[in-house]
Amino acid sequence: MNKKEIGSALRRGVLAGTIAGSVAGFAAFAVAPANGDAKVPQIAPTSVDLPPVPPPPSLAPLPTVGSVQVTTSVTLPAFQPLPPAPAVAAGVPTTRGS
Amino acid sequence: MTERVERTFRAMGTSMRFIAYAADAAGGQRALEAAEERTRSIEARFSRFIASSELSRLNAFVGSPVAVSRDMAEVLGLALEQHHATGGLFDPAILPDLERAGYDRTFDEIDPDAARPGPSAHATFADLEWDGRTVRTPHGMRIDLGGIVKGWTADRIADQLARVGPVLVDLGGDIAVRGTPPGESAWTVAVEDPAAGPALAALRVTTGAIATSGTYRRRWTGAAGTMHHLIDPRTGRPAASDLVAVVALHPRAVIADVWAKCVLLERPQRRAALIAACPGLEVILVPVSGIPVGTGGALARCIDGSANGVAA
Repeated sequence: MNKKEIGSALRRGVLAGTIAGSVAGFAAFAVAPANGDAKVPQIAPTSVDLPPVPPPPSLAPLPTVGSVQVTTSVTLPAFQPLPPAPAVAAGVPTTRGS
Repeated sequence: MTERVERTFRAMGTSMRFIAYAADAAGGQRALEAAEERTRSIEARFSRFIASSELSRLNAFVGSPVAVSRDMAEVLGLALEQHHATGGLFDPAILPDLERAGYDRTFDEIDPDAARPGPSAHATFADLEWDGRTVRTPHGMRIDLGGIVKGWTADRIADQLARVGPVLVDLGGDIAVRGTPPGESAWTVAVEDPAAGPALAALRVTTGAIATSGTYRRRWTGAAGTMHHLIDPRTGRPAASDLVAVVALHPRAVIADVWAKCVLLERPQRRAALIAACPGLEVILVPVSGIPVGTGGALARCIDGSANGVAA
């Protein structure tokens, strides 16, 4: 075989091998797809007995607007008239508007 | 044996008087001289009428952070505290409105026709940026501490002079006492009648302070009408109150000074609640028309003149 014949034979071989490999691979995938799939784990159904929810506390009825009372510890001052002022000696310190 | 010593002088635009009972007269006089000097140095720091004062410099540096002295820090801190405690009724930032009313120079130099009409222009003191040592006044804010400095000074001077003996410090009507005169159970302090009649009352004071705020002094009349120095921060105008004067009694002169003004500024229906908000405060209210009234603690200090005695 000369060089051309050798090259031609190689090319045919490579081409034929490539086609054969592709066909074989596709066939393997198409024919047995389940072989490559992971099995999905199955979760067994469970049931847990939760403790019973306590009933809601009993609430007092909401106050109506009329029954709301605001209490405060602040005592407002009461005002009373001043007693009669005495006569004041001259020189007594005097508070005055400034 | 104690000696009564006394000193009178003018400062802060008003007359001042110190009375003390000292172990020796010379030492007492020296103490009073030192107290006068201290009062003048406080005026030099806090007066808005002195261009070189710390307050004037503070007002000139609007928008810039300014480090302040210890005294200024204390007063600014107190002023902010009282601004909040009075719900904003005490507001040192009303200076632009006070000047617009014509009080833009010392009272003795006021031009009655200098009042300018216009809307309120002052910022609220709550906007002052203050970290305890450095202050920055926002744009539009200028401060007058005249509503608190006299009371604060009265406390300081009274504490200083108390080392000498019993003392009464009278800063233009803001009075602080420590101790009682020898042989007496209290000091006697008269309450001026706004109508220039005889004293409205005579009070027995054992300790603490009395301050009066009134619209009957520092008032002027010009083309824009009658003005006075008590600016209502809610309107920016001289207050239109049903009261002509309020006398406040409190252990601290600075509190009495501030709250006397605020009680006068407050609306009648909210006044009792305002007074109740300041523990230890007792007041005498002098209405524009009608009879003066007082709270229980104030009445308890009034000397009853029914016996026709003379209070001295």
